[in-house]
Amino acid sequence: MPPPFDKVLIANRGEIAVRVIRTCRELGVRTVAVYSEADRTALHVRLADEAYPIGPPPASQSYLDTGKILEVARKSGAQAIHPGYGFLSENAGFSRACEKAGLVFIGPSAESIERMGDKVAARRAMAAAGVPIVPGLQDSVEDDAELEKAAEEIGYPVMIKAVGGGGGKGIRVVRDPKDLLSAAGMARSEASKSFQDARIYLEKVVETPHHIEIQVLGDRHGQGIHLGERECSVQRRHQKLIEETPSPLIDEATRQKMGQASVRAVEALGYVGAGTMEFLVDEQLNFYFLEMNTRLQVEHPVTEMVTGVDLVAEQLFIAAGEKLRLKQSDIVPRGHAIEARINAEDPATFLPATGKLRAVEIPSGPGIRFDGAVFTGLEVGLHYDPMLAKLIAWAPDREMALARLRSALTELTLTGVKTSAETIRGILDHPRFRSGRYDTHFLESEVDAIRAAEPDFALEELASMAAVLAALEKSRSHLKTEATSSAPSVSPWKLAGRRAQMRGGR
Amino acid sequence: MMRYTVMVGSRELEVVLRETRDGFVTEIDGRQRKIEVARLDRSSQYSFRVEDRSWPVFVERLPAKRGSRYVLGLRGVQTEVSIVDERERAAAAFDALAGASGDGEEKVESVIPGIVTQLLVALGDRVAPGQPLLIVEAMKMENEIAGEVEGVVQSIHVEAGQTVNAGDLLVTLGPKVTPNEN
Repeated sequence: MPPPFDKVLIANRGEIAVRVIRTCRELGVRTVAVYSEADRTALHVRLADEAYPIGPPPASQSYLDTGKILEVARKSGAQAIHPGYGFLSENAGFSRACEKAGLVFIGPSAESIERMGDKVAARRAMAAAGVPIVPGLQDSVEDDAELEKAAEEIGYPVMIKAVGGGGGKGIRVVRDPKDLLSAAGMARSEASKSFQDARIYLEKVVETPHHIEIQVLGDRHGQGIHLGERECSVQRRHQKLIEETPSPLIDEATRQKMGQASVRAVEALGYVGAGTMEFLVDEQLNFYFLEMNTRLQVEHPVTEMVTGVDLVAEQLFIAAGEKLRLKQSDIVPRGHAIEARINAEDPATFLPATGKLRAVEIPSGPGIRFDGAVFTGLEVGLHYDPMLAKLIAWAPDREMALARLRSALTELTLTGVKTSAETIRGILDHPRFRSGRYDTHFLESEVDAIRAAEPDFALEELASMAAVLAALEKSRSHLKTEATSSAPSVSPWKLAGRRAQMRGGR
Repeated sequence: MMRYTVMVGSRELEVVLRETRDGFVTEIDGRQRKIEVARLDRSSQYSFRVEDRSWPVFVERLPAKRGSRYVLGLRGVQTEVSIVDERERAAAAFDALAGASGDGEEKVESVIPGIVTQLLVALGDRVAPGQPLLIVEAMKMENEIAGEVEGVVQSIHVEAGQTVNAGDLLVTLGPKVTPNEN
């Protein structure tokens, strides 16, 4: 198959830019990176065929600067722009500007992005396509009496949500009718500050919900398919930390129903590209549409691991106007995949951590995939998302996939910056996670047990090592340091070994 | 033979260390362990053998007022460890005693990464223990940073609007203002 494009600009940074570059290279597509001053030595800059500076570190003056990015596209002769996730990926204005500049935006149309960005419009569109939505209003409410009447009809507890919402802002749960109006006031003020849109609406609260999402693809010819689900219930403050597929909760019948509903939505909307339908699923396996993400998701690799489909490649071919290369019957998930997000964060507070990466050791082995952009010397600052990398494990079944991820974590070393790796280990060792019986409240309710997880070594062993290091600082006599002696040559065996490695590849 | 006090979180362990011909022997609570270590090239990577068990260890040195501070990375877990020997411990105890009777000295560091939004003290100000010295904003939350000792603001190392990392020096408190120091 000929490449979908000659040259693609990647309007992103970090692991996702590297991820997109890899697929482009495989397909014979040349790549253009853009970077802020903070990212001059970043991995995506080094791996791309061309790289262009686009401004100072703040994203608003670089990765979000539509004008500069389009200028680089013009100068480099790129035909299409891949936005990755975050930054401009769900910006309808950018999608439109690309089209106006004669460039292909690798994602859905501006109209699709706008429709799914408006939560009330999205609910209406889904209901019309026959997709179950959380019981509640299909319109915003202004009037207090109307709000009280609607809440009564839906039944308490209710959730107040912002029409322009996202990221947990403007959301209030109300359990007692007397709190409704004051909560509505606060939600309106938060929504107007965050989204310049004070409109709110009501939804029923789904108790002990699971967050399960369906990956979809749609082409320009009206065809859609789904690629199964991802269970994303391990989250705190609406930030996911671990994702897996298949979900330990749902059964095959529910999976089919959710998938078919998602495909109906894609075809009814005329949705083009990769997207994700997010659902809340309760213990009785009722599922309700929550929102649609009109881009590639951070957690897309777990789907790739079980289906064998490269979602970025499919995005590129769809954007080039090709028909879907896969039929629904081609999607046959195999085994179990789980992803852990390695964030720069203090495990004691979950707040972002900064620093310079010193030692970097990346795990490998059967079924292990590491999507990252880390290297010794990387300055982790506060300008961008704290996610450093994703560690993904695949195995024939869930138990084995968890064991592989757990083992790979012991091989992952990132010093100089605190990371979420220890939190992940605590979660993997938690009996409720191991049994698969967890919902979206799991991480917040079990955080103390997760943080108290015991390491694999005894404190006395650690203290002994520290004492030895302290003693060595004073007298370095017993340290067997390789290559610090002035002995003239490297062993010939070692040289032979290196040569063999160079010949034989990895 | 050396005696060390090792602090890991809230735990404190007494370690007796003895050098042998081919390594070390530690003793903690009467139990002895044979330790042997090799460093890989000049990297932060060490290979420890504790008895017969093998541990790959990544060692990062942190600045310490007295003794040593390390972050040890073992099997993917990073642990901060402070260690002092007998002499250093005695000196620390003496300082603590001296500090209790009058003005103390302290280098106040940022505990979080963020942006300095406001300075609450000026050079030469006398401050009480726990008195907020400046405000660092992180994740849209304002955090007051205070010192632990009573003393005089000797130097201020940051200005409003500046981005700081965790561990960056913010303010030095001392017994009196030292002239000719910024």
